[in-house]
Amino acid sequence: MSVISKKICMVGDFGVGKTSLVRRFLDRQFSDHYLSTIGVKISRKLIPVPTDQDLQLIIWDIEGKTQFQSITPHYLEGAMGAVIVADLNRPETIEHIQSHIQLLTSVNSSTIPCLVALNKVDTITKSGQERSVIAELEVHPQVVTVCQTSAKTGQCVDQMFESLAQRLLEHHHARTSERS
Amino acid sequence: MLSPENPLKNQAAPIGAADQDIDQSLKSLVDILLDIDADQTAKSSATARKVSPESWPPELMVLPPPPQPSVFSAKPLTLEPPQVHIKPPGQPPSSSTAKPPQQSEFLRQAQNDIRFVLGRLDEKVTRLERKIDQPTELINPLLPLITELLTLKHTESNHSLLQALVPLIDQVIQLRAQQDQAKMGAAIGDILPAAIAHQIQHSPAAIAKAIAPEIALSIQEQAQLDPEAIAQSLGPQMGEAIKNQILVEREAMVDALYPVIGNTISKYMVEVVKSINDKVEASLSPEGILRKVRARIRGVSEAELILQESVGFKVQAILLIHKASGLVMRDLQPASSFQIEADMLAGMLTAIRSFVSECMTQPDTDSELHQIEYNASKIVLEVAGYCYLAVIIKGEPSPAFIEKIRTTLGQIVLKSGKAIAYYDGDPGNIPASVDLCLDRLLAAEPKPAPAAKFPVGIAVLLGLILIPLGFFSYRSYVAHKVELKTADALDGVPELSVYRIVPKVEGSKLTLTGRLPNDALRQQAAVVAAQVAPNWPVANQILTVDVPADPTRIAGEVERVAWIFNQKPGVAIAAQHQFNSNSVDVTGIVADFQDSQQLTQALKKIPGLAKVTSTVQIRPVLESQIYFDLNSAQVEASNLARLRSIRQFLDQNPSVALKIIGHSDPTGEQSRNQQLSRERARNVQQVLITEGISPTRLQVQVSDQLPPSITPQQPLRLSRSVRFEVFIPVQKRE
Repeated sequence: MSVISKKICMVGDFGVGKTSLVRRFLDRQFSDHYLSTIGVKISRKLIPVPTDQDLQLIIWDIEGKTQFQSITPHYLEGAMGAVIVADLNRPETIEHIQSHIQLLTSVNSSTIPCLVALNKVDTITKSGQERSVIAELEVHPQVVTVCQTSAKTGQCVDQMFESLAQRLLEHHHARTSERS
Repeated sequence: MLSPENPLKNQAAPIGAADQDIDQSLKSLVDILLDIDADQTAKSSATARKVSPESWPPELMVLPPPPQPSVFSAKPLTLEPPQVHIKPPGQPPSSSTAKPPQQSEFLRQAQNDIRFVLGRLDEKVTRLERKIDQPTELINPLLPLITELLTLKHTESNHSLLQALVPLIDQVIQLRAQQDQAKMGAAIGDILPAAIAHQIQHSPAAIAKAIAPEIALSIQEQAQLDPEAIAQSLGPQMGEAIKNQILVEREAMVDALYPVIGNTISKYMVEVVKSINDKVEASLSPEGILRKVRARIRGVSEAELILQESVGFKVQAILLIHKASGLVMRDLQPASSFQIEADMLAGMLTAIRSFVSECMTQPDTDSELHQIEYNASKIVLEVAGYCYLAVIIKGEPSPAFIEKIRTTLGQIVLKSGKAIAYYDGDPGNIPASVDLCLDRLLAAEPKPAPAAKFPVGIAVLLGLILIPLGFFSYRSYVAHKVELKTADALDGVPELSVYRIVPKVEGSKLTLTGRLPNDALRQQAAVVAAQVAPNWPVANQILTVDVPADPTRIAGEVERVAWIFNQKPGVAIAAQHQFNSNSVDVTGIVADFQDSQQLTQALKKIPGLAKVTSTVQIRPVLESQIYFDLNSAQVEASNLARLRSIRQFLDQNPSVALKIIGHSDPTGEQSRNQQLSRERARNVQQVLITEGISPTRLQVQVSDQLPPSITPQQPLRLSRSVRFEVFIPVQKRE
């Protein structure tokens, strides 16, 4: 049986931990050293589906948005899902989530499932300030779920990617049945 | 505890001479104890030993005042940490003169105490001296003391303690090791790593010196025990090590690697050069000439082509990639070659493409990545529609192969463009026709030059040319025979033989073409052809046409009509048949309009004659007659005008001749009348000749009849006349 491949993108401001989340998910590793991603880094992960075709995630870890450089829209083309990452300790990165979703839907289908990862929950110093923003995100039509993750401890990382995979499969089957 | 910097040493002096005594004795005591402790078997007396105060460690120089006697009495062999009463260093030392009574009292008390203690000590020492012969007996009671002493001394005097313990330690360890090796190992083992680490940190050189000779041996040993482990631990560092070495000592590395790499390269080059050599030698072969032509056409040097042929190329992978997402739709890799991680490669290629089109694009232009080269391989990218082909090729691909890549992608996009545009990650949704195209592309890669191989391609090509050629030759041979037979048969039929009829085989039919004058002959030709070639259906394409009339016959007909008309009185015509235009020009004279009409109608009725042009004149002036007097042949002057008009007529009609007919009245002698008639006609002729008419056109006749319209009842003078008849001379008609 063949494997279904889906491209997903990691999007977010610089230094929020996109690469670390991918590394935790793929290699079960974490490093404190910050290495800025240049351009894009591509990895893949096979998610076995016992009852159906296996799902292969092609993960595009895209360089973070900085003050001076926006995300290259070409890299987002053809994505069937996205993980939008923000740093719980940097409120401005949470505020930018909306604009990242907007960019994604402008390049791709407007129904692209997005998953919000509020990262670095292990180092959280002040909490409660982003409650309103998070509540707003949870009712956003594109947002599947909002997770508070930690690439360092692994909290919620696997569940997050798995729930996105689950959503991608549902999407795929819905489309296939539509066409047939 | 007190540190050496403590100013106690300075305070010792003011305490007084007694203090110094005590001090001295205590020192001696400690000394004794130490000596006993140090050398169990030695009998040397501690007191006998002279120890200079200078050699003492500073700690001992500042020993505190002796402890309370009660302490000693309570625990005679236990030395409690001494209680020291010291004034703070900031305060000046109190002199004895300051508080003389209390001080001296105190000192006295102390001296007594010390004397008491010393007395006891002396006693004990004497006892001990006696027991020296039995060391165990001596040591046993001393052991607790030694322990205490060691604790105390350790804090007070590392040096002396060390000095005391050093000679013992090796023996202790040795003894203990002999007793229980395992326990000893365990005890020391715990501290060994820390000890080594410490040592490495503090004197790396020394430890290196100590370990160095054994490293090679131990690696060797370990390599024998578990070769994998050494490789695993060294492996990851090898790359870095080599890199570093190249950075540091490039030349040395080159020297080291040259024997290996140099050989590989030279071996490869030898093969290439041999191949080039073969090709150059074969430059006069058909292949060589073909190559020369190709080089000329493509505008590259022949050497380049030879190199390209020698090196060749090999397709390592063909990937059909979705343009936007970079997902792999098809991944073809020959089983023999190294399997490339298609998904990752496709993703990265797509990202690079995006990067190029995003960042390398100048305004108003499109940038497209066509090729990526690495080592001896290259990735050729061909983009169309919603997908692109990435073909990984080792070596130099031929332009024909690049073209083949293009056409393949074109076919794929044409056939399956829609499925590709909506690709959702499931390769099963891409039609199988794509596989067919890609398989063909993979199979299109050239095999390395088959030198003595049977040229299958050429044979197939020749077969493809020769087989149809043979078939067509046979068919045309058969057709030719049928055509010849039919033509012969048609020739054999007399009524058809004069006409040109062409029998020709076209497709599977026998076609007859040509022209025949009527349908009967046309049908007859078809029947003849059908009899000769009964297996061939006849297509009768013969046309029935009007046969052009025979010009000679027309000319004869024209002549006949003209002759008939010329028999009529007053008609003198000439009909000239023009062969070129198949027309008739009629000139001459007719008697009246009716004659003219009849003549034209008669000529027009001649079959095949296209046109009749008539310029005939209805005779106008020739009614006129010339009259004469009785018995005279003289032309009267009054007739001259009439004759002139006749002359004019003759001038206008040069082909016409004139009969001049003389008449006479019926009276008189007949012979005379005949003579008169002749003379009259001759005279008129003479006048006309003088007027310039050729005598040949003027024929004189004599008639013994009355002129045609004259009756005997009419006056006689009307009979004495000359009349004219127009005629066309015979020679003119021919």
